Amino acid sequence: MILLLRALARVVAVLLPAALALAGLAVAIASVGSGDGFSLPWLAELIGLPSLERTVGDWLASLEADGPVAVVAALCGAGAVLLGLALLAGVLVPRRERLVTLHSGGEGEIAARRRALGHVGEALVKDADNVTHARVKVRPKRRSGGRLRVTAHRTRPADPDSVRSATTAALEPLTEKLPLRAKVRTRRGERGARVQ
Amino acid sequence: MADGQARPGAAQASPSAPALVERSPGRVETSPPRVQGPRDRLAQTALDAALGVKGVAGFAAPPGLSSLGPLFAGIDVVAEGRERYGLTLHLAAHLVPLLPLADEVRDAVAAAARHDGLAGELGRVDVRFEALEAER
Repeated sequence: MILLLRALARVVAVLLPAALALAGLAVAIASVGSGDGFSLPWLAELIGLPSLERTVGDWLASLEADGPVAVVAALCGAGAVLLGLALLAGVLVPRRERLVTLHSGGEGEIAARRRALGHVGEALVKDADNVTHARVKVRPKRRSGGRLRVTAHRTRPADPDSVRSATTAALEPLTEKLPLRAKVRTRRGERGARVQ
Repeated sequence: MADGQARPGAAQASPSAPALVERSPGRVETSPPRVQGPRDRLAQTALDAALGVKGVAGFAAPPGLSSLGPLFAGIDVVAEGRERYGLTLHLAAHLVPLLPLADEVRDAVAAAARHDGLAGELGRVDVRFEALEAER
């Protein structure tokens, strides 16, 4: 989610100043001219401001009064505030650390990428009995170690508890040697899914 | 590692070895030797030593540029006080126990630094496993 907000904030941060700069440039150039030709009224006419005023004038008038349009305006305002807060979150909230610290000491730190550990977990779980395939997500803890969230897809006749035990056992090379804890859940595989 | 020879599976060979090892995303080609100060020499020593450890598949540059530029992509060198440098080694490793491998890499780097007369310059050695892959 934060990744998406961060990307959105980056896009807005590029597009908005560019649009404002172009608009400012147009206004500045138009300000140089005067009379009927090249001027601010000419620019306003060019982008259709008078006709827009005629179109939305009544709506703007009703916006000032109480009524359903005012409710819509209030909702739009609230939406704009929420969008602004979301963009701020995208800029200010730090992304989740991509490294899991495995050991830290005076001589240095040992860490691994979340994705790399996830791939190892998936490779280990693949060998568990009655598991068709698995997905392992790694969440680093604040200081050291992390959690493995494992979703093991099992064959349809397999007992979920036994698959969970087999999956947990298959992950022992990771969970016993490294500061990682596994949380395993099983899902019934698709019809016809087989152990590979 | 002998000059001109690429270690199988290594992502980045020593800068002293002009051979290209492997071209894949996130991996780096070697360059002609351009080692300058103790900082560079320490990085090269660490690079050679780490590549000689069984279980290390190569160096994998993390996103962004190395502090030493493309010559030593996969190694960050940060000054730790006067004439002492901390290293961060970004490794690709085979599927082996990681903590013993990291200790072995550190020991190899420390031994190589001693051998090259750089023990005084070597500070902390951080090991980061960027990728783990099955042994080919």
